[in-house]
Amino acid sequence: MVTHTELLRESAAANRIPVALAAVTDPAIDPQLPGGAELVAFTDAVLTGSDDAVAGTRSAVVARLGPDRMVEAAAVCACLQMMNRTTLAAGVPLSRARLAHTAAMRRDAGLDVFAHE
Amino acid sequence: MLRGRMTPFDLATLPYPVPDRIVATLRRDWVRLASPGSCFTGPERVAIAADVRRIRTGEAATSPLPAVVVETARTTATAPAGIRRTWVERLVADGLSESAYVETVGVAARIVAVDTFHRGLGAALEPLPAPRPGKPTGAVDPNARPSKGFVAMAHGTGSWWAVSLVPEAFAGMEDFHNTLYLSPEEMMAAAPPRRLSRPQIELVAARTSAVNECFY
Repeated sequence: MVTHTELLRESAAANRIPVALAAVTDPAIDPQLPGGAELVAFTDAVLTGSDDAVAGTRSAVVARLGPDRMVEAAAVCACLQMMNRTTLAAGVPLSRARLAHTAAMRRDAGLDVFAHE
Repeated sequence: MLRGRMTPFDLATLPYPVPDRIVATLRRDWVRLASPGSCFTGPERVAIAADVRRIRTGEAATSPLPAVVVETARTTATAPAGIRRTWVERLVADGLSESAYVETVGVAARIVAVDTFHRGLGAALEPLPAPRPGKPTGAVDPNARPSKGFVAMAHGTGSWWAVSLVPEAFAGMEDFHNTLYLSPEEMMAAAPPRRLSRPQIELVAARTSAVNECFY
């Protein structure tokens, strides 16, 4: 099973564009993707922000990337809200092989802070 | 804020274009939510969703559902990163069947997803559907086996199979995953058929997982 941070790294490499993986866990870091900072701010606002923050960051995504992409971003965030919950509630484990394969990436992205059984 | 409409998910009045495939998926989910599941009736499933909405706004659950069901819904919706094997085992010891646990998780996780999407768009929450009559089906996937996770899964242990014990829960997960994010086939593409680039999609996905303290 591949994590979304791995998919971010691999898809950026496949598209030959730079990406700062540390932005996944530190929103103060510019992800370096087009509209990346706006997408992270929008995601954070939808998940934990005020209604005003959602409205402001939504407008920023629309201004930078267009309304279609804002809607897609909201949809992806919604889907991961579901997938994260089902994954955590079912106790889906990280295999030893996956842990080994992703050790450097997890360290770089700061993902080791998350507890797993 | 709730809105009242005859046709669910009438999002055409929003200033943003919501793809038809997403509206169709949301409408299918409302039918699924209102219908009998494996362990719960339609009214019980809608009551789980209503409790989740109340709990997420800081209110108390009001449904007459068993405490173990309400606890499962509450924890899935508000503190999933804290779920441990011992907690699930205690719920089962207190009378919640494994399939009822999985079904509750599925309902709670999907209503959170639906409401998150609406929050992102600035849309009022969709009123919950009127429950449909009928008895629980008792259906479980005959391929489900004890897994390395907390519950039995069919076909393997993994995020994709997390709720596969209960066919209805799996179907709902699959529908949302394929439409709101990407299908397994689209995931194989560096440039899937979306307006966002694949790295932009994965940035939103990875950041959401990070905020939820989920490694995946």
